[in-house]
Amino acid sequence: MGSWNLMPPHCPWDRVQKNDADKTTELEGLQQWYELNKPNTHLSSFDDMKPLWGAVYMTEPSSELAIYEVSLSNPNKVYQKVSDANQPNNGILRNNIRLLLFKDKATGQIIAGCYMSILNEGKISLDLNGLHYKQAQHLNGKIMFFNLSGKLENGWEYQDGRITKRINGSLEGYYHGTKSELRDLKNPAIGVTGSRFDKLMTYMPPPCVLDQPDWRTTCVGVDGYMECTTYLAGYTCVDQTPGGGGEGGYNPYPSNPGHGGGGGNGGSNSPPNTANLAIIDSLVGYPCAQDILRQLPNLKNDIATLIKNTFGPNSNIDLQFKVDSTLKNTTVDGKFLSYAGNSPNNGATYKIGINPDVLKNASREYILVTLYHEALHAYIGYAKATMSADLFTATFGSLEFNGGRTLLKPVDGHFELAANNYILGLRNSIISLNASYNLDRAYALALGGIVNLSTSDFQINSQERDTSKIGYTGTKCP
Amino acid sequence: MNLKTFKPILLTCISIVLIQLFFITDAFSQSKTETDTELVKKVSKFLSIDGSITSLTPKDQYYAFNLKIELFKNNGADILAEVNFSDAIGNQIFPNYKRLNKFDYKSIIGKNNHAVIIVPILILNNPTDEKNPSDLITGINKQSLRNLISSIIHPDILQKDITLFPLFSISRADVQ
Repeated sequence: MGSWNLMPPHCPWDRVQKNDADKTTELEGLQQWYELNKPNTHLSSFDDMKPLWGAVYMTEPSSELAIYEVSLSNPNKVYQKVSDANQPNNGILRNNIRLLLFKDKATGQIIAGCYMSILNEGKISLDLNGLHYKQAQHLNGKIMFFNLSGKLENGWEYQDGRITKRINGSLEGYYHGTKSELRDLKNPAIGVTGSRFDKLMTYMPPPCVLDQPDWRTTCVGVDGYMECTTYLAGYTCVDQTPGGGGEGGYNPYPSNPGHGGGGGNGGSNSPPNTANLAIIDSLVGYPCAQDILRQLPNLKNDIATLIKNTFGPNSNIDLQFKVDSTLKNTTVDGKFLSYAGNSPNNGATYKIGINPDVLKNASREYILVTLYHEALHAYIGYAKATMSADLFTATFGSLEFNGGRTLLKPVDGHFELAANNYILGLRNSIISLNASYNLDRAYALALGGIVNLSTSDFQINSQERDTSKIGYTGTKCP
Repeated sequence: MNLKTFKPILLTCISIVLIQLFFITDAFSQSKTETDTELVKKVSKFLSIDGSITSLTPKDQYYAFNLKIELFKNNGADILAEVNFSDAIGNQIFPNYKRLNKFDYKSIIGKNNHAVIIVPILILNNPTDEKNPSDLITGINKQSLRNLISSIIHPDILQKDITLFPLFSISRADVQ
């Protein structure tokens, strides 16, 4: 195993002062993940490139992710061409391809890998080794991301380091040249080369409704002295603008619309994204929950239909799920926090906070029923804001607000029809996610937070809420 | 007075004031296009997603203020936008509000060199209200109602180049 040869020497890896044992363990984890996830057969020119594990650069572009950039050998001299046919290509001077591995900092797991290709179409003097993931410096050119099968996922076009265009990976085709010294990056998904100098198909991204400043810290110094400065690296779009991984990045979360679709690898068995643009995913850092949230409006059950009709793409009412850190280490799984807008009937956003303990530790079934449960609160809140008091009471019957908890009371030992519909609907929603899940346990999960639980039902909920304990029978999040 | 009567009074008063204000800006608003409607939606959407009342203490139950977006033309071409809240609490609730200065305000400023957008904002921060089956607002008396309505309106509202946006509100729920 090679020694750590980090570029440049003041990268964040050094700042965290890892000892050699930690680095070795981490390096082995990267290698193991790559060996398990790389294609078994030769799919693209990327397969000829081998990771140089002695040259790893680590960045932390967000509080959730750590990115490892691994240099690659390139024995066959495979490079991307510049778009201007009159520009000299100069191969290695203009194009730098690296392997990226994405680690979820919360779980410590590598969640995705891709190839990052930096293409300099400006001054030849620009040092590409100084550019990194989401650090384009003064690049005039493109940074493109390919999955491990060699398929273009997404990319970004830059002028003087500023993003000017978003490259949509779903639109196939990229440069291929005729010069013998430059071999072409072939996309196995299309299999044919097309006409010469096919242009990348690009489009201007739609305006971002909510982009958040992306502050980074860079440190320069030597042992014992380090000077760190904070700078604004750009803005990250946190709404549903498609494109992938925020501005300048790659989406490491499989098929998650909140991150732009595509990306990651290994794919997902989930149903195809139906562009449910009105449910806003702010559960970044919890990819399992994000995957469930993506499925939430599309599963075959009555609650999903209700949620989709109320907050779906045909509605001007949005539903936002976010991580609520104030709930950590509490027994509260989630909260309907607030609603905001011009009026409940004319455009509004309903916000839900979810306990990070649930997002991290619960089974998929428990996470699903929690998301549905809180979505129902938002639905009831919407109904309350738009219905007359009499109609609301007639519709929701025995709802009781008790110190913030919304409880349904049995009447003569039975739930009212409306209440029973919601409980059975929640139970059925769990089965729609996992048909082999025990129906009685699903019913117990559906009751959680709605009624005062019996001892046995409480135990079932506890088991599924924390899969680090024995007893759960649901699907553990990876 | 019975608390039940306060909510209709509040809503009626706000409606009357806003209707009057719309008449003040009537000449301006009559010429508005679909683009303005889209801008209203976009600003509202931004505020909806950006706004967070988590840090507001429940004991201060209601806040009323406004967002002022003042537009200038730079050498008759580029539009510069200055964004400010009438109360500093707005900076806390909308941490990324400065991003509003990057929106496209061409439809508002038109051929003029100066225009002002006022977005009245009301924060109903008492979580008890949401648990009240009849949606009653609690803890408001006449004086606090007057203060709320006064605070929501910009003092320079009589300027002719002001465009008043619809009331934007955030309601705390805290329902588990």
